Amino acid sequence: MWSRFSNPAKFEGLARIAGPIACGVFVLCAAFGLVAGLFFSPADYQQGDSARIMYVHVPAAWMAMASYSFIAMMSLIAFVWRHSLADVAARAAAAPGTIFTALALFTGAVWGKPTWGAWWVWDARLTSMLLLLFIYFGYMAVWQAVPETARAARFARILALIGFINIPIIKFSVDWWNSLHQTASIIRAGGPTIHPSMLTPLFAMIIAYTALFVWLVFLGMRAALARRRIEARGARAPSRPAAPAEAT
Amino acid sequence: MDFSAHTTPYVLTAYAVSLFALAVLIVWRVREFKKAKREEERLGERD
Repeated sequence: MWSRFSNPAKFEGLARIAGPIACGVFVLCAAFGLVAGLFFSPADYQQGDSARIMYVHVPAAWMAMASYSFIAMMSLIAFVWRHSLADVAARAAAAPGTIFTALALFTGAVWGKPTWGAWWVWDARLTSMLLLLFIYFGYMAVWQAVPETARAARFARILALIGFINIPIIKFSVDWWNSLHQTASIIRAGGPTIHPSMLTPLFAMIIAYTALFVWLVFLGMRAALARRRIEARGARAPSRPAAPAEAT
Repeated sequence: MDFSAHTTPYVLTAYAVSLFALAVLIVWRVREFKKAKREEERLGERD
């Protein structure tokens, strides 16, 4: 199946159908999640209404890590199987991943002020998320700074794979160190500790953010492939014949 | 829903910035895609 979609034309066919579907899922789930989260879910018994920030903070944080995991996976596929679209996919995922990470940090700070009394603390979870943001910046900088695409792809893959070590550190930081950030409430032994009235809009927003990521990656890949075709046309265009020498 | 005066600014700020950032990302990506497609179609017509 992978090799089938290494053909850009076949991938374009998939993206033309799957992209709009992902967009539709994003719009529907975001609308439901926002309305349910803001107006119908209960306030937290300790944090009050500031807990509603969870419905934008948690999806952003999950997608920050999921996007980077996607980049690392595509980089590995490009390294091992030389899949022609893997690098394109990884590069297309970088901008959305960076925005999700920045939003996770910002909304976390806004949630932390009324909850912890501080906009920022240098605890393990927050610091490792900040490091993830810098890794995203570095990844995008490599693509921009190295002029030859093949060389840029090689460096970007290496950076992506080395940077992946940060993902389990982020995930388990709240267990390994004394962190102000709360421990896992959803993916944990014994099941989620969040009430269904809060879990439903939360899952809706997570699905919305995921669908948004899928849609944006498809768009980014289609744009990159179109630019590649434009460059190939430019390289194939016949050169002008030289003007005839004038007799003196 | 009965927001308290203490937490409302924080909730509204978090949601407003999130929605604005995602909107900017979507608009940027869609424009980038449309620009590439227009350029490709223009080259196709010229050929």
